[in-house]
Amino acid sequence: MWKRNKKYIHVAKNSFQEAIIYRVSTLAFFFSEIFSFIFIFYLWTSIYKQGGQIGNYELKDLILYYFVSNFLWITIKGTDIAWDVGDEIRMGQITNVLLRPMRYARYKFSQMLGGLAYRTSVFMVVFMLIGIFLSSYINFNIELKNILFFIIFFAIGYVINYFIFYTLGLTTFWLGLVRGFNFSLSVITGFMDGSVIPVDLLPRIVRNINDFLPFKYIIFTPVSVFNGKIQVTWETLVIPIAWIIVLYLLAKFVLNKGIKVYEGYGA
Amino acid sequence: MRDMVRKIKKYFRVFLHFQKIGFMNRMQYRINFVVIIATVFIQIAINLAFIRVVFGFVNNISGWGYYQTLIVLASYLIIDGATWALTAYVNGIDSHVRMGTLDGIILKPINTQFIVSFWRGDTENLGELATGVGLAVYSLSHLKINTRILLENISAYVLLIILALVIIYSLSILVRSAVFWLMNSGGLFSIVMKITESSKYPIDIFFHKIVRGFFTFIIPLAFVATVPAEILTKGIDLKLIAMSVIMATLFFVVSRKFFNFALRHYSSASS
Repeated sequence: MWKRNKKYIHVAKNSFQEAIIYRVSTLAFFFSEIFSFIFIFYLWTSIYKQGGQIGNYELKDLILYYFVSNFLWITIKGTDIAWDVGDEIRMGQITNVLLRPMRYARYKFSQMLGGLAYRTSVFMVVFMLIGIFLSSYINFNIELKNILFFIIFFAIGYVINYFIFYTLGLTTFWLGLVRGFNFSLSVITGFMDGSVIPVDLLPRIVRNINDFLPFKYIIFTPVSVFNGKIQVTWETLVIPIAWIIVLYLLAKFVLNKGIKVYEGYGA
Repeated sequence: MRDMVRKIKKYFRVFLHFQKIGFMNRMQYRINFVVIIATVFIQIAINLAFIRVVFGFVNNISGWGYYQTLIVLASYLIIDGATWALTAYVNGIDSHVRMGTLDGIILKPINTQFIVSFWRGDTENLGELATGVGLAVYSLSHLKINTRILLENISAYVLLIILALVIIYSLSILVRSAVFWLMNSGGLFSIVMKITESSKYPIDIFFHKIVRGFFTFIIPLAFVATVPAEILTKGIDLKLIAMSVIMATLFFVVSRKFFNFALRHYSSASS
């Protein structure tokens, strides 16, 4: 079992090393996130200056929310998975993987994990430093158990996001190009997962629809676990894990069907 | 003079050809094209929903009322839509440099910067531009401005939008030129995108003077959407217009020089 899967660890390692090559790009992404955070900080501070409170969020809560959600965004959503998978299929590069003694699904997941490990290790340190710098503006009264549960929900959020966009990428087998659908799903996900605005501030009808979708487990739930707005019980874990199982089975089904129609153009 | 006119005509014809080729490429994947158009509208709806949610709790953002804030958003939509439709934020240069296909472009009897800038235009974003215009008209109808003053404001607004386009284009060129050294300017490009996106709210949210000064003169965020919206809703301010002209000219000249400097560092990657 270990021997059989050892090769995938090498794939992840390679991907990690490949990410290091583009250090300037990572640095630039970091600055763009810093810029985005500065902007959010000023926007919400000026809104709160009018007095009153938005939902059950005080200003410091909201700044903490965007601080953590920015971290999640840059780590979990730092790679365009659908574009990557779609391009491999469209350009025929997937053939190289299919001909090797590897499973494509495991190969891709390991490759993406390498990138995630790189982004998490870099940005965790960076965000901690920013957190110390901004400690007077952010409500950092976080219990240790919240941090531990946050790590679990971070992993859940990553896997859900991965399977959604991986499956979308696989539809290139039939569609030829998924750029439009990828753009569309990214925009919808970005709104429904709480990156734009905490989902509990959205109108009730949107919240009700969102309850039947997996998107909020990508950003909103991990942040709410971190700041203690969601108390973790077995029930809060069951639904996202069920979503992972459903999305995994769907991805497996789409890959199996897709390989059967694949003709290997450009290989 | 005649040579100049002939040159402009030639470049305009090439531009139209690029647009035509771009549209034909889009038509290869029609469903994709329709989905992208639909998504552009979803994105606009999300932006509007965000402003609606905020104004559900407060009645102004740093002194800007609901309809005035909508005009700032409308200005952003016009600029973002036009930038995507005309130059797509000079998106194509990365692959040309990485794949070495820039060789063929340099050899063509036409300005290299022109080709890398206009070879790709995303037609679907014309919908964003049109929505921006519609939103501006809708918001103006709720702000009781004297018709004669409004006409003056609109003519100044059109000029300021063109200047904002020049600023965003110049910023894109400045950042994209880094690809000649880095081989990948995707990360740097995300900074330009964040700057443009942040311009959809009034610059006055930056209540610290130093920060506001930084986002006005170092990163000219203020001149992208806030200044045009301010002129349109609050009346002509010659000082602001003059500053916009200076900033746009400065950024264009610097970006042009930097592109030519960067181009000298191009080493072909093809066989």
